[in-house]
Amino acid sequence: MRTAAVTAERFATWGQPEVARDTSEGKALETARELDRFLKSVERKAFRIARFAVNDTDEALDIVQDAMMQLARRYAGKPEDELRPLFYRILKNRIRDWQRRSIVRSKVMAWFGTGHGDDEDADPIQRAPDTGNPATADRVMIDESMVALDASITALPKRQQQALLLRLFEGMDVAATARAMGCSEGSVKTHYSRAVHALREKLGDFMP
Amino acid sequence: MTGEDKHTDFERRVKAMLDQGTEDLDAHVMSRLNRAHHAALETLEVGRPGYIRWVPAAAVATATFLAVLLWTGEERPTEFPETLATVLEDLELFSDEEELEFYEDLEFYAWLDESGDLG
Repeated sequence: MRTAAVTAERFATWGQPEVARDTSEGKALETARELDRFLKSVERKAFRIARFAVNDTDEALDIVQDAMMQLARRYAGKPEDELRPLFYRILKNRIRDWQRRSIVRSKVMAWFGTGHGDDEDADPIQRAPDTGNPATADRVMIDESMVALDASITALPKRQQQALLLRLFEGMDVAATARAMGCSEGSVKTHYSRAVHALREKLGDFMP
Repeated sequence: MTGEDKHTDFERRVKAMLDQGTEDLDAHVMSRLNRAHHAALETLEVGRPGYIRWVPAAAVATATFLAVLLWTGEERPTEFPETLATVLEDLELFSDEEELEFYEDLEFYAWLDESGDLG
């Protein structure tokens, strides 16, 4: 902070060549501010999306942090309409890397006979955690619906889950979603439509 | 742009619940997100070209290489020639980031000195 103040003071009185340097630092600060605003706008949703994909809070947080740092290192300064699909593309790749490692780990664990694959086919709604201590009947209904929704989204095939969350939750249009997912716009529409259909089938009792 | 008006009631309810879940994140998660956010911002090197980061490492590597080369050479001079000594001094200089910043600002200090004389 002190350095920044000294720098600002120095440039306020220095000669012509320093004007260019001042402009350059001003631009860098503006880039930092824009990135700050952008990260604030996506961090919660990014966490939820990663959480749905990996089903583990701490792993999801690590993945989001990696994605944010890579975005800052490589793409800071891009306009926001480009940042958003870039960020979700990075996040998707980080999630995919995690899932690959997870598959290898579970195969190794199964090889040594220490896996926990005996309930893999169970209904995801049944497997969802109990959320605890609702105060009213309405709250119970809402909590049950939330748990059912979370479990159903977690259970969707990966591409359907991505299309649903980027389009409906993050509010990205088809073109931006396609850039983030690395597929065609037609594929986005297909995955999204299937995801909504699957959710409607699964959640009929909870969200008529 | 998002076509939200085209969503069915079911889709709107799903979105509302997802948004609600985002609002209800616990303190641990919010704290970790905040730290991640700041860690990302810290990776931005304000006003410094990317290659500058590699100057100290490159300088140390070159100095080490030169030292090994001289040490293992057949003829080992008792004194470095003046030009080589200067090169090594420069390498040492560039391997220290604080020193580097000082020398980058030499022009500024010269100007400051002149301004002081005028005042």
